[in-house]
Amino acid sequence: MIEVLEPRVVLSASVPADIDQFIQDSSNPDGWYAALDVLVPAVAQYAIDQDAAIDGYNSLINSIAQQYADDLSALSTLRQTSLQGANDAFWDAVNSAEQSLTTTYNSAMTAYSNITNPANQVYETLVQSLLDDFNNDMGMVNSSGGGSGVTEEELWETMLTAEVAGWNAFVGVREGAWSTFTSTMDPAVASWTTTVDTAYVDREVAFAAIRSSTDTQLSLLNAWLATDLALADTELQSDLSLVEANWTSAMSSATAAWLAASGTPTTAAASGWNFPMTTGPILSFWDDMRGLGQLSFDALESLNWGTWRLIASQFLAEKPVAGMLLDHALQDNPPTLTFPAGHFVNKAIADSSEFACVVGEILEDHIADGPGTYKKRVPIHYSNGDLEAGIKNATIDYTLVLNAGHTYTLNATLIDIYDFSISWNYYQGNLNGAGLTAAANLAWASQHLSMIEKYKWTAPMTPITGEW
Amino acid sequence: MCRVIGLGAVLFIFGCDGFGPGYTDFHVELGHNCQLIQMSGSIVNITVNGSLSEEDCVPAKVVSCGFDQKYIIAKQQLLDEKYNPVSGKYQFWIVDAPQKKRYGPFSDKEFNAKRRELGVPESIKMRSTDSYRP
Repeated sequence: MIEVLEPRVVLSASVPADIDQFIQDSSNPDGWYAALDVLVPAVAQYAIDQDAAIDGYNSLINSIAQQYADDLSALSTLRQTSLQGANDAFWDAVNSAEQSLTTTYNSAMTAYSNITNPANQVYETLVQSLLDDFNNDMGMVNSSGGGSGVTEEELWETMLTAEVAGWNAFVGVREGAWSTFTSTMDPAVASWTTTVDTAYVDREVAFAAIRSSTDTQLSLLNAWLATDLALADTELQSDLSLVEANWTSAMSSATAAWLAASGTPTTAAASGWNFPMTTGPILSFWDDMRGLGQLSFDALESLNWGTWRLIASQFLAEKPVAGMLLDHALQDNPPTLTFPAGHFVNKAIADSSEFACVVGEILEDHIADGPGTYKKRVPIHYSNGDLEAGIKNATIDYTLVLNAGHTYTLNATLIDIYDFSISWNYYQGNLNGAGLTAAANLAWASQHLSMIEKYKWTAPMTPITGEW
Repeated sequence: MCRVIGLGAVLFIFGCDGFGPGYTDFHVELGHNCQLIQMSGSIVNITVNGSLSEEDCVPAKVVSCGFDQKYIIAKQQLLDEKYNPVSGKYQFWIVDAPQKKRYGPFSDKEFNAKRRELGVPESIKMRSTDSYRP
């Protein structure tokens, strides 16, 4: 995890034989030994102090990462629980209103039936009675030769008039009952609508508030991470500066010891003193930490490969290019990936307006130069969608052949390195929101745990031909 | 304390949007068809006259740079075969943007000498490429 530094290798043990020989052969062996008497323990102390500073930094970074992981998890739970709570409240209100409406409906329908069923029975009884009377009267008319003095037409009229009167009476009762039913149901339905509408609005308001609140907390969390990482950096710099100062002081003491033992010459420079120890490893290590993160992120170890695989499969549906690239990164030592001709990734790139724009610029750049073969490498930029997520900036290597007959062939290949970088500037709008920033940083950390591997990938385009 | 980032947390931060390394990429115009471009975590170049060809551009990884109307100065950290920056291995470059001309690679001393020779203003200071992120 920590680089072995050059001074420790050279001087922490006894003086190597070849150096000892060099000292013996020098003009001032006493001076060298006197200097080494100071330098050897100083180098040991240098290593101890430096390791302590770096261990302290590692410990602090692990603590920060642990806290970040815990807070992210807690925030996620809070958000999920709150959203679920708001949704449950909505459905409770809907179910309660539904229950109330059903009760009212059942009651009103019972009342309606209690009125209409007897009326209907009365009507049906009336009709049966009229039919009986009609049949009797008709028999008498037909058998007596009209002795009753009533004609068949009159019998029909009497029967139908009475039936219509009975039907109208039934309809009147039914309409009255329906009126009662609707006058009961209308306010009940209105109440149901009001309740459900209100609950829906309440839920949407609650959802928005929860999302806003948790998004804000996520931004604060990212800001906190940035601040704490910066503080840890500052503290490490301070500690290492102290180590360097102690080392510089030791060098001065060693120089003084050398001079005291030798008497002449009067300066260290004149003696050929040339220990390469004042610059180098510390600064290099510092750069490594910022750029490469050789530090361990134990707290994130549980964000395992399987989780990333799940995420990749999710994105394969929605963002197929980004999903496929992530999926490939989850292999151990993924080989360089070359998408074959006709692959959907190549097609997505070839069909993009950004690629068409690059092709146009390539032709424009070379047409004035006339027939010939032109090879060059240019950038391509994607600013939205799947290709932004997976690629954004990449290289196009091309060979353009402009023929004398004014035809051309363009062979182009997109080349990119799948490699996450950490985002330090959370408020500069470089990522689409705090969530993506956190996601990118998590991916960056996972890259250092070898859960996500960086790799090179290429997408050769189908040759483009045309006239110029 | 729980040492687990739950799946819920991961899906939560990934949200509804797409996700990939592309979102941390950026590019900025430096003038005269030169661009500072981050194409991945470690591939950060400066194009010269729009070109990323090896013989034209400032190669990856550009870790800091500065520029004015005429000159671009850049510090490059070398990469290993796996695109990891190599500890302590740096080179320096100067670009005359209007002339589309690149000078380098230089050591620290060579860079300072060339800078004086070309008359690159002292007012051009190099700063971290990440600080140019839009």
